[in-house]
Amino acid sequence: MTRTVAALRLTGRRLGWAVPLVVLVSLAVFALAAASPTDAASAFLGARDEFTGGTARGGVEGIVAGTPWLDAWWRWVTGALAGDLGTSTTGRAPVATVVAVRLPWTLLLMVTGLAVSIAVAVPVAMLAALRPHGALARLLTGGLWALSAVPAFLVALVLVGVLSLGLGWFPAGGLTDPGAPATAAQVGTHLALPVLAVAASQLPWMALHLHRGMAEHLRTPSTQAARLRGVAEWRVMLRHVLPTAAVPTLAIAGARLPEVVAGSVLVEEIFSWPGLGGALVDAALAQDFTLLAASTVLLVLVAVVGGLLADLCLVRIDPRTDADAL
Amino acid sequence: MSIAVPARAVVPRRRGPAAATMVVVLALTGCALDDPGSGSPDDPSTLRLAETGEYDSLNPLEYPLGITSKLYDGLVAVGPGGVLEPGLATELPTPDGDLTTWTVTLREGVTFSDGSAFDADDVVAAYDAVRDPRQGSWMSTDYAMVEDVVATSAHSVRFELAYPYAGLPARLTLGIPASEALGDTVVGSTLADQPVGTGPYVLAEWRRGESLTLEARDDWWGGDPEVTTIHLAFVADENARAQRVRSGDVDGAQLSPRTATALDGVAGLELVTNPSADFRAISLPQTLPFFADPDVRTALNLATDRQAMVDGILAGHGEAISSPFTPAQGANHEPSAAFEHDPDAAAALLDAAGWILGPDGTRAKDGIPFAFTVMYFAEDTLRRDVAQAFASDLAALGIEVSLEGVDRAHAVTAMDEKAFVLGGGDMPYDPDAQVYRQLHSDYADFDEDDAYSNASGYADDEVDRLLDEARREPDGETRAATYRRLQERLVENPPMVAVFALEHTYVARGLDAWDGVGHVVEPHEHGVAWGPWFDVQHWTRR
Repeated sequence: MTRTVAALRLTGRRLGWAVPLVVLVSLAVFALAAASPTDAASAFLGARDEFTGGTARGGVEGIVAGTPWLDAWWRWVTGALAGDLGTSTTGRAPVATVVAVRLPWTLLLMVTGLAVSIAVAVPVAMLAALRPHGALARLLTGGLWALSAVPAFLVALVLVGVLSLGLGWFPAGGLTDPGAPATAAQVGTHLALPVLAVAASQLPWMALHLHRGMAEHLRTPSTQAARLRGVAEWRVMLRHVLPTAAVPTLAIAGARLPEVVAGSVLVEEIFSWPGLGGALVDAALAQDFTLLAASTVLLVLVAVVGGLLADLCLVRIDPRTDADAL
Repeated sequence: MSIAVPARAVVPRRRGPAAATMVVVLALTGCALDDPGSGSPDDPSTLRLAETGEYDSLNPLEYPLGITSKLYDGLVAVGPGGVLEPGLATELPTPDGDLTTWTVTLREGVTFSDGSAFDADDVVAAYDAVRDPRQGSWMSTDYAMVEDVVATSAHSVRFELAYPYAGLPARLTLGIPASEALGDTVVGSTLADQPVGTGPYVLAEWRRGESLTLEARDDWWGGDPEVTTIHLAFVADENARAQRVRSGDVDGAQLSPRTATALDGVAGLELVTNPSADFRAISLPQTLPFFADPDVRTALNLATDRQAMVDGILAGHGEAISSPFTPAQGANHEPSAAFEHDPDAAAALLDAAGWILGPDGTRAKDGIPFAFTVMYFAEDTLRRDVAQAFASDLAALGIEVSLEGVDRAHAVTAMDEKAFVLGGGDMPYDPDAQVYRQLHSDYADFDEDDAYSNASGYADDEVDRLLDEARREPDGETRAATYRRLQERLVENPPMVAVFALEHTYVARGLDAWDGVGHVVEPHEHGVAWGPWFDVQHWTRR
């Protein structure tokens, strides 16, 4: 009971911290975007910049260049508090609409990708930990190190080449077949390759951390005692080794969540996945303050919530954890 | 040949290394393994294409021609071969004797996609909006010649110009939206994602970041399109685009010459090319000591091996040019006004001009080395390749060229002191629109806000005179002759090193099921609204 109360206190404390954090981060976004060398008008015009005459350019600047960054920030904050996140110049639509349309697809891709990589990382790490010096362990860890060095877009293109073009198992991109309605079946088949690409980029660090943790905890007094009591080896692994090894991995996973979301850009681009990644890059390049601020704050919140969830799991898994000290 | 995707390939089977992960994926997405509903119907009236990227906006004030020509009509339309033809006008606009007043008679009985009637007020509102810089259309400067647009009746409009201008019809290709939807600025206008036009198609669905679907109208004034549905998937990455068109997921895409050529004959695909006025050139800023001398500029033109660039960079899909005029300009183009590749003559000219080869292998004059920088957009590999080829041609002559990949914000600030790989040809349907701002001395003074116009800072009285004369010439043949004379002058006193005009390359599947698939002269812009599909609303089934 006291642990539940402590966990609630932890939750409240973290969410309370999020407020000044969001203020600071959003201020920094406006300041940095204003200081960046990109030019709002030429970014807004894109390739047409080259064909835009002098007076026309002046007109575009008048619309997109906007006010000094501190004023722009203040207007954004007061608007956001009143429920108006502003209009995105790159999306030519309200920020709330742009985010609401794209965020769910990014979340679906990332959550599924993480789930798949966990599902693969756990058995792989166990296999490697059981015989830490065996050929299989070396092969697995070596393979994971190699995989971690391969850029995500390359993994994505290889997946398309093999599983889509070569074997014809999955479609090569998009949310559905061209023109098909977005049914679960359609989205499911189109989700497969992007999910594999995301999973492949998250698998190495996850499995390697788990493996290291397991190798350390394989021969502790408590596991030895369990073995002496006649507990089967797989039970020892699942009940004693995995939970302790999972503790540091979970902590890292929580902290890595925003990176996973932001890192979706390349995978989303290769697979024409309609997520937030591409919109974020456009917004940054075009000094689209409102969209940039909204998505950055969103990422901050994802980081805070991710860290919180990881710590809550920690409190639950590891009885030694003191929630009030986290 | 069918235009549809085979139903194979989309239903996952439980085998192979992907099986384990698929179970997880499917469990999480609630997808049934044996659901057969994901196959595509074998329907030839549906076209599936992969576009090079997502559109920022479907507002015709922001996005002329191309995709918006499916949603809106202009008074004038770009027809097969790039010939201008009447659109919402009953016939091509007619000028008065001195080309300052143009009268346009409008089609009657035309309705917008929202059901409202099209009339002269919509035309006036569109041209008032596009000309007003506060509206934020990047084209407002292009309409500087228009002083006033007046509705003389519900179905006729008069354009009053500030000066005689023969090239107006090309500028009347602007798509006309319903006036109520224009809004105060292009950012605030609902036309960006809720187009209201008179065109052959309407926007059925826009899945942000993924795809867009157009449906044919059944009450378009031009007839009922037989291609009733067009799906455009946004695939920015070229490799991914090539893979999707190869896998049969889509039936056409724009690809680079090399990739497109490699896919010709593969998986039922054929290579389709269109000529364009889309050119690349290298500016020679005349603030630099060597470029003030016309002989030096001529020498650089002679030193440039254009054909090698066409063959090497474009895989042969382009044409060497010697000025911003391209062969796509037809009778306005003078083929004989061209530079041969002649490095020896170039060296002789440089010697005569006093730029002598020094002991270090670099030419110099009065202690000034012949060395300069060529900028290109860092993300544009085509321009990078042009810059590299140009630099190596000049290195052979003892001229030192450093290359600098820049972003757009930096390019405009340095245009007066560094050479730049220019792109041009955004409006190829009249030679004035193609070349005037590139060549006239009115644009010679450096201005960061207008850096790409006359980027060399070039001024030549004869060129100015011929440009203005052609602008005021009502007779088409006389006007073309003036432009041909202009090109001869541009070879005597070259403003830049014009390199090549691109041929835009596409791959397509299933075109032989249709009559009416033609070619068109394309502007700088390309994509699947062009290529063999530019006139898809007029296709008929074979």
